[in-house]
Amino acid sequence: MSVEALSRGNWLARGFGALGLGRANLNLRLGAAIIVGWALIAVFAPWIAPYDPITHNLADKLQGPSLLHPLGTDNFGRDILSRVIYGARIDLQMGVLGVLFPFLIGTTLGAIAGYAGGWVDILLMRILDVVLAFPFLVLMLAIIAILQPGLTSFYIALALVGWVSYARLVRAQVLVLKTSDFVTAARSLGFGRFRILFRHILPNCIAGSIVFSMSDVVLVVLAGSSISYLGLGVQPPTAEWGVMIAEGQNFITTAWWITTFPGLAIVLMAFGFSLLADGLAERFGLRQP
Amino acid sequence: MSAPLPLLQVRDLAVRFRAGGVGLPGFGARYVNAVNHVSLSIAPGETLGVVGESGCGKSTLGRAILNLVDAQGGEVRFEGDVVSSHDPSSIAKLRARAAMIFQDPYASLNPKLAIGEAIAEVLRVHRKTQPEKVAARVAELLYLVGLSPELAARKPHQLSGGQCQRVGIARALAIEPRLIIADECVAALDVSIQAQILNLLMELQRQMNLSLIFISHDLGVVRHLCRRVAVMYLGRIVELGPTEQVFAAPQHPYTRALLAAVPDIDPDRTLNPAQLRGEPPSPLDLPTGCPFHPRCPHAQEVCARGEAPMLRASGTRELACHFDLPLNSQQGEGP
Amino acid sequence: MSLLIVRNLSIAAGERLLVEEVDLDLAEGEVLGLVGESGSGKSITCRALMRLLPHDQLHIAGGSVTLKGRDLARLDEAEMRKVRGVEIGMIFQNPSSHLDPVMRIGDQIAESVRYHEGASTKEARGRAVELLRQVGIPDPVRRVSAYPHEFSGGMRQRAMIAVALACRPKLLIADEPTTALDVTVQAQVLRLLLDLRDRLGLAILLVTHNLGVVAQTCDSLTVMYAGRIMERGPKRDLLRAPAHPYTEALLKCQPGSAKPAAQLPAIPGQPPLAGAFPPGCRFHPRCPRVADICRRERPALSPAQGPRVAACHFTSALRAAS
Repeated sequence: MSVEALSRGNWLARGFGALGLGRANLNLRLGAAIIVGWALIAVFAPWIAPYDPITHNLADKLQGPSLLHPLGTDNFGRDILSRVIYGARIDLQMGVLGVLFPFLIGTTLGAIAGYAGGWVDILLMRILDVVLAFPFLVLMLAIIAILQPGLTSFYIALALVGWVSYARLVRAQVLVLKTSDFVTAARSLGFGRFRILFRHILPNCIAGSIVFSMSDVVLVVLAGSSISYLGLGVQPPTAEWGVMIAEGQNFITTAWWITTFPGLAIVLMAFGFSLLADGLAERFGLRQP
Repeated sequence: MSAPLPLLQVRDLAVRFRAGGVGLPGFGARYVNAVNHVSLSIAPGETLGVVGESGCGKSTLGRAILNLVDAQGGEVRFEGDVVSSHDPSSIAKLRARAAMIFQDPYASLNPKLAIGEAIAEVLRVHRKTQPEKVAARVAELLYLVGLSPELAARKPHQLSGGQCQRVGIARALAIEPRLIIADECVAALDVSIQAQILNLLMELQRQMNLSLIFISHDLGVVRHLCRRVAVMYLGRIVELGPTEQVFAAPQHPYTRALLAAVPDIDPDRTLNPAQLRGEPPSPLDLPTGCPFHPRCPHAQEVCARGEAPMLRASGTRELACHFDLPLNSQQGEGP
Repeated sequence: MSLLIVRNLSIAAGERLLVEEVDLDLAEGEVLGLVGESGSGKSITCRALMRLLPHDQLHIAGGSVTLKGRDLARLDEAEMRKVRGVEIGMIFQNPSSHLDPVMRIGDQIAESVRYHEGASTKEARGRAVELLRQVGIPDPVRRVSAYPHEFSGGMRQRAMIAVALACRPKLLIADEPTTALDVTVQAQVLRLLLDLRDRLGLAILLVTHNLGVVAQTCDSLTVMYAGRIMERGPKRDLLRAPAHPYTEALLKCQPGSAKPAAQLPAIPGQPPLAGAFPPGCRFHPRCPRVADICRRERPALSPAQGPRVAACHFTSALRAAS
C-alpha cells in the first residue's frame, strides 16, 4: 500500500507541478481536491451509484440510512445516495456554465468599456446601473418566468444578470492599467488596440476576476438550487440537490435525511470552490496568505 | 555645409491636460499647459538632450512626439511627412521607425510576458523577420544589448533593473528605428549600471546611425551624451544649442541657475549659494509674461507683461529671453 | 570627542548577514557621508542606528551604537523611544509619505515637543513657528496651520526637517534627503542642512548615492558595498585619490569625469543581491585588479594613508601606482 500511495502522491505532485501548482498552498490543494472529487463523481455517476436515481420503488420509501441505502430513501423509495451522486452532474454543470458565460461577457464588456472610454463606456456603465438596480434573484426569476422554467433559461438569465460584477471588476483594473508604463510602451511600439487590450492588459487584470468567479460559483449553485426549489429551474424528477431539498421539506420532521444530505453536498461543493478562490487569490498574490 | 534633411521636425507643439473641474463651460475646468510652443528638429544620427526639472514638460514632449498623448496644436513631421492624430496610418508609420525607452525598467515591460516573447512580439507585429527566424533574431538582439540569450524565457521580475532596461532597449531596436526617444532611461539605475547603459546607447547609436532624443534631469549625463541640448522650463524651451556652448556659457538666466545648482564632484568646489529662490510655480496657473520672471534675478518690468518671449536665434543657439545678458563663463571649465 | 560611535555593527535577516562590521564615528558639527549603491546596506544601517528595523524581518546581529556614551543597542524599547526624536532626528527621501497628510504641519512639529518635553500647547506652537522660520519657510505664522499637501516638494522636505529637529537633537540622520527633489531645490535643501549644522552644531549622517552631493556637503565619507565598508576617510582625500578600487571605479563612471561622447569606464556586472554576497572580497567579481587572494580572503579594513582606511589587499600597491 505504501509504495502505491507514494507513487500516487508523486503522480499528484507531478500533476500539480504541470498545472503550475508546484508550491501550491494548502487551500488551493484542498479546494482543487474537493472539486476534482466532485467532478469524478459526476463523470462516473452511472458506475458509482448503487441504484437508478429516477425509478420509483415505493416498497422501500422513507427508509432511514442503512447498509442497503447508506443515506436512506425518499418518499418515492429512491436511493438518496444515488440521487446525490447524479445530482453532482447537474450542480457542477450549473456552477461551471453559470459562471462561464457571465465571466466571458462581463470581462469582455468591462475591458472594452474601460479601454475605449468615451460614449462606449458611458453607455455600458448605464446599462450596468440598470441591471444593478434590481435585486439579483428577483431579476433572475422575472427573466426565467418570461422565457420558460428550465435549466437553459437559468443560464440565459444568469448571463444577462451576472456579467455586471465582472464588468465592473475588469473595467476598474483596465482603467488603471491603461495608463501604465508597459501599455504606453506597447502603444509606442505601434501595437494595435486589440492586441494591447487582449494580450497586454487583460492577462494582467484577469486574476481578480478568476478569484471572484470561484466564489461566484458558490452563489450560482445556491441560486440554481433556490430557483429549482421554487420550481423554476431543474424540473422533477431529475436529481438535483435543490429539487431534492424542495421535495424533502414536507418530511423534514419525519425523514430528516432526505433534505440533509443534498444540503451537505451543496455545502461541500461550495466549500471546495471557496477554498479554491482563497488559494488562487494567494497564488496570484492578491491577498496575503 | 548643406544641412542634412531633418529626420524629425517639431513646430509649435502644444499639449494641454484637463485637471479638475467637470469640464463644462464655466464649471471650473482647469488646464495644465504641459508643453507650449515647442519647436525643435533633429538630424539623422544626432543626439539631442532635453533637460529640465520635474513638471517642465520634457516627458510630455517625448510622448507627444510619438503621439502617445494628444497635442492641441502644432505639427510633428517625421522624414518630411506630417504625423497627425487624425491619420492613423501616419502614426503607424512613425511608430514603425521611432521607438521609446522608459524610465522605470520594470513597469515598462509586461509582467506576464517572458522578455524574449516581448521582443518577438514586436518582430511579428512589424513583420521584421520571417516567422521561423524570430527566435534567432531575438537571441541576436539580446546579445546586441549585452544579455545572454538564455535569459529569453525569464519574466521581468526575475531580472535586475539594469537587465530590464537592456531588454527595453532591445525591444526598441527590434523595430529597426531611425529615432529613439529615451525618457529618463537611466534615472532609476545605480551609477555603475547607469554607465553601462549609457555606453550601450552611445555604441548602438554610432553603429546604427540612430537619432536620439535623450530626456533627462541629469545634466551630467546629457552633457556627456548629447551634441545639442534643449533646456525646458514650465513647458517651454528656454535655451537650445550645442551642448558644450550651453554648458560652458549658459545665456538664459534659468540655464545658469540650473547649472550652478548641480553639485560638482570636485571636493574643492564648495556648494554654490542657492541662486534661485522658491520653486517652479504650478503649471496650472502660469505667470503672465516670461514664465521664469518670478524667480529670475534679472527680471525687469517687461518680463512680467504680455506673452512669453519666443525662442529666437542668438549666435549658434536659440534663446527665449528678452535680453542678451553678458556672457559669464563662471561655469566655464570643462569636465 | 565623538558624538556617535558605531562599532562592528552587523544586521541580519534570519541567518543571512546583510550588513557586517560597520564602524562609524561622528563628531558634533560634522557631516559624514554614507555612500553606496542600492543593496549596499546604507539605508538599513541608519535605520538600525535608530532601532527602526522591521522586527519580524531584520535584527541587529552584533556590535554597539554608542551615542554620548550610551549603547543604544542595549536600551529597551521604552528608553529607545526617549532617544528617537530627542537625541536623534531622522529625515527621509520622500517627505510626502513621511508626513501625516491629515495633520497640520505645526501640529506634527508640536506633537513631539509636547510628547517628549511636556510643553504646553502654546509653547509647542511657538516652537513650531520658530522651527519653520529656521528651516526657511516663508510666513511661518500662517504656514504653521497648513497641511502637507499645501506645500511644494521642497517645502515639505523643509517641514520634515523641522519635525525632525523639534526636540533639538544633536544628531540628524538624513536618508537620501534630496533624491526626490529637483536640482535647484536640492541645492536649497543642502544649503539649509549646512546652515543648521553651523548654527546648531548639528552632526549629520548623510546617506546618499549621489557623489556630487557628498562632495559639496560632507567632511568625511564612508563608502559601502554589498554590506561592508570599503573605504573610509576625509572627503577630499577619498575623492581626490581613492584608495579602494571600488571608490575609484565609482568616481570614474560618473558622466562628468570622462570626455564627452567617450565610452564611460563602467563597472562591469552588477552589485550582488543582499545576502548573496560572494566569498573573499565582496567587490572581486567586478574589480579590475582582482587577484587570487581576493577570491579567497576577505581583506580587513587597514590604514591606507593618514586617517584613511580601506579594505583592499592591494591598498599599498594602489598608492604606489598613483
